[in-house]
Amino acid sequence: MFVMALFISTISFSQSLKEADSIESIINNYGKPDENYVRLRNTFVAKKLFSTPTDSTWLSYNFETLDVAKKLDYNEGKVLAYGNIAVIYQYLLSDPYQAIDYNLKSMEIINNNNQLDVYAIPTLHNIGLLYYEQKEYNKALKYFIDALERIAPLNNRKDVKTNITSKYYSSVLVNLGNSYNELNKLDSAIYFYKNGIVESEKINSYLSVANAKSGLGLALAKSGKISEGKQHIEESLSMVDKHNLEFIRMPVYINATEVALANHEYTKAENFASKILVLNKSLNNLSIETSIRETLAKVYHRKKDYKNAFDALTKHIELKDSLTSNDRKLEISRKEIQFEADKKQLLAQEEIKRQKLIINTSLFGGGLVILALIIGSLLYKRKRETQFNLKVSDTELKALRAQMNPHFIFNALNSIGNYITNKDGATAKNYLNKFSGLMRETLENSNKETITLKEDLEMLKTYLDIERKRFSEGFDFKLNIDSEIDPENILVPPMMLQPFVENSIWHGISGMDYKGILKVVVKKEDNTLLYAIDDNGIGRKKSNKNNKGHKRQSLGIKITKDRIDILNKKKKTHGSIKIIDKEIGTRVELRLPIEKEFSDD
Amino acid sequence: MIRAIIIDDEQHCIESVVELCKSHNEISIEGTYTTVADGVKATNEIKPDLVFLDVEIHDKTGFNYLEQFHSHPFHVVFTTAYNKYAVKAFEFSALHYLLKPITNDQFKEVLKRVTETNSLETLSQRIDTLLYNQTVREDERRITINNSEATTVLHLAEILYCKADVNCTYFFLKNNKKVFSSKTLKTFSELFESSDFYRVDQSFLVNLKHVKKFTKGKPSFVIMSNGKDIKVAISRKAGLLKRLNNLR
Repeated sequence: MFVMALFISTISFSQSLKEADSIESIINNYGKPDENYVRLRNTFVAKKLFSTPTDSTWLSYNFETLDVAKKLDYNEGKVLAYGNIAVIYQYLLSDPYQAIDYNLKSMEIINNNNQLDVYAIPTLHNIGLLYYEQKEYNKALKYFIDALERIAPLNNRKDVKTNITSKYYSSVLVNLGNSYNELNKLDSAIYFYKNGIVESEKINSYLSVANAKSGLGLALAKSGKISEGKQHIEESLSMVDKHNLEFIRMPVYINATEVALANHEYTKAENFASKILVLNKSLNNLSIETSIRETLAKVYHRKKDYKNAFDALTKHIELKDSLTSNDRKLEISRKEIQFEADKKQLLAQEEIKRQKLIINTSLFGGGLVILALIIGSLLYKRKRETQFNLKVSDTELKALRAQMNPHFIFNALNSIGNYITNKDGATAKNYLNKFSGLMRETLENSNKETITLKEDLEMLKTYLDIERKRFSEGFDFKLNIDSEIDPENILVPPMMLQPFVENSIWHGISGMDYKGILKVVVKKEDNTLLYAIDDNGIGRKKSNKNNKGHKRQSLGIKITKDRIDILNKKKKTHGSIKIIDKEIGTRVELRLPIEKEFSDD
Repeated sequence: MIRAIIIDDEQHCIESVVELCKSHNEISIEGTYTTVADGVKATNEIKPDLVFLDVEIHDKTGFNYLEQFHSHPFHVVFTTAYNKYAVKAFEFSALHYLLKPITNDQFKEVLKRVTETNSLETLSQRIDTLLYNQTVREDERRITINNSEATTVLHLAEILYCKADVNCTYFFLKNNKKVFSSKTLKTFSELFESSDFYRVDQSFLVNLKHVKKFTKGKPSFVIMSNGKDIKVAISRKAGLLKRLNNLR
C-alpha cells in the first residue's frame, strides 16, 4: 500500500531572487535591530532558501534571527524562525526528528500566545506529516486531530482569511484519512476521506481530491466494498489524466493495482503494475519497486502463473534486503539536492511555474521539494550500483570483526583464569586491570575500519603484557619501527597481527625450554607497509606434532586472511600474508597498502 | 584531611573505592550511600570535601544528584564502568572521573588533580557546563577548556577551528579571540566526533558549520566564515565532502 501525504508549507516558500536580493541589502544596512528587522530576515529566508540549498550557513543564519527575536521578545518572529529552522532540517538536512523538535518549540510559543493561533494549524499539520513520513502513524494522528480541533473555532473568526483555514482543513482531513488507512482503521479512514473530498472540492484542489479518492478507493476495497472502491479509483485515475497530476500518478496506480487485485481482475492488476514499473524506471524509487514486485507476485500467484510469481517474489526479496532504512534516507538526502540544485535550478523554476498553474499557489514550495526528490532519485540510481557492492563487502568486514572479538576475549579470559588458580589475588587484580584496559580499547576500536599504527601497537603491547604474565620465565618483546614510518599518521585495520602474535606465544614460545623472544618490525618496503613478527619458538612443524598431528589453523588467522581478501577487493590493493618457517621459529609477514591519515600524495 | 563520601548503588564498587582510600592517609571516608536521595541528605549534613559519584544509580543518575545543589562547595569524582556517553560528557566539562575497575594509578592521578589549588573555584562552572550539555543537542554543547591561566567555557558554535601546536591546541573563535589548551588536537577531534567538526589536516580541526566555501583543486582549501583559508589534505578530501553534504 502506498498513500501519498500532501505537503503544504508553513510559510509560502516562493522563490523570488530579485526580491530576496533587495531585502538582503536592506538587512545588511539595517540599524538597530527591531521587529521589522526580524520580519525581513524571515522573509528573506523564505524567498532565498531553496535557491541556495548548498549554503551550509542557512542554519546559523536562522539561529541568529532567532536570537534577535529572543532578545526583542518578539514572539511572532520566534515562531517564524523556528518554522524556518524546521524546514531546513526537514528538507535540506533530511533530519525529520530535528524538524519535529523545532516545530514543537514553535508550538510552545503559539500555545502561550493567543494572537499567534493562526500559526498553530500549519505547524501541527507539518508535525503530523513529519511523523507520517516516518511511518509513526499514531503520533501523526495525534497532531492532525489537534490541528482539526483548532480549525473549527478559527472558521468563525473574521480576522482570519477563510481560504487559508479551508486549505488546511481539506489537507488535514485527507491526511487523517491517510493515517487511518495505514493503521487499517478503515471506517475512520473512509469518513475522513469523504469529508476531505468535500472540502477539497470547495477550494478546487484537483490534486487533493484525486489523492483522497485514490485513498478512499483503497480503504473501501480493503473493507470489502470493492465495487464502490473501484468507482473511486477510476474517478481518481481519470482526474490524474485530465489534469496531468503527475505527482500522484504513481501512488494512484499502486492503489489501483491493489483494488484490481481485491476484485480478482488479475490482468488489470498486472497492467497497472507494469505501468508502475515503467514509470518508476525513470525515478528508480527502490521502495516503490520493492512493494510493486510483491504485489506482482500476488497477482501471478492468483493467476496460477507460478514461475513468474516465483521470479517476482525473488526480486522482491532481493530488493527488500538491499533497502535499508538508510536507503530511504538517502533518497531524500541533502546530497542529491545539493549536487543537482545549481544545475537544475532553471529547469526547476520552469517546472514550478507550470505546477503553479495547475495547483494552488500554496503548493509551490512542496512542488519544488518533490521535484528535488525526483532529481534525487535519478542521481541515486547512478550511485546505487557501486554503493551496493561496497556495502556488501563492508557488512562482511564488520561481521568478521565481530567474530574476532569473542575469540580474542575467551583466550584472554582463559589466561586470567589460569593465573588466578595459580597466583595470589593482588597480582590477579593487576592482571584484571590490564585486561579491562584492553577490553576497553578493543570495544572502542572494533567498530572502526582503521586506527593509527600507534594505537594498534599500543593495543598489541597491552595484549603482550597480559600474555607475558602467564609465563614464569616470561619472554622478551622487541619492537622496531623504521624511522620512515610515522606511527601517528599511518592507518591500519585494527588488530590484524593479534592472531599471529597469539599463535607465536601459544604454539611457538609456550612449548620451549629456553627464553622466548618475540620481535615485531614495522617498515616501508616497496611502497607497502611491512608488519612482521619473528619468534624463536618451536616452529609450526613441531607444534603440530605436539597437537597430536592435527593440522589445525587458528580461527583468528583464518579471519585475518579473509579480512585481507576483502580489503584487497574493496580498496583494490595487494595486501598479503606470508608465513615463513625459519630454522628456528616462525616469521609472519603482513603486507598492507600504506594508508596515511593525512597526506598530500 | 579530605573528608569524602561515596554514592554508588553497588556495594562491591563502594568497597573497592574504600579499599583504594585505605592506602591514602589524606582521605577519610565519612559515609557511603546507595541512593541519590540518601546521598543528597548526607551531603547537606556532613558537608564533605569530596564526593565519589556513580553515574547510574538505580533509575537515577549522578547528574540528578548534582542538580540538587545550587552551589558545589565539594569536589566531584565520577565513577563509571563503561559509559562512553558519560565519559565524553566529563571530558567536555573537564570534570574528573574514574573508570571501573579502578586502578591504583588512576586513583592517585585523579586525587592529585582534585587537590590542585584552583580546582574548587572553577568547579561550579564545570558542573554547570555538564548539566547544561545534558539539556541541549550535540551542536549546541559547551566545552570547558582548562589551562594554567584560566578556565574558559566555549559554545561549540563559536569555535571556528582548532589548530595543533606540538602537543597543544589553539581554539580560534568567532570573536577573533584565541584560547589555548594543553590537550592534543586528537583529543578534541575525538571529542567533537559526533558534532560537526572535521579534521581536514594533521594540524587543523574545523567547525563545518563555519565552512563558507570549499575550493576544488590541488591543493584544495576550505574557506572559513572569517575568511581564513585552510588547506585540506588530499587523503581527507573525500571524507570532508561527505561530511559537508551530510551536514545537519
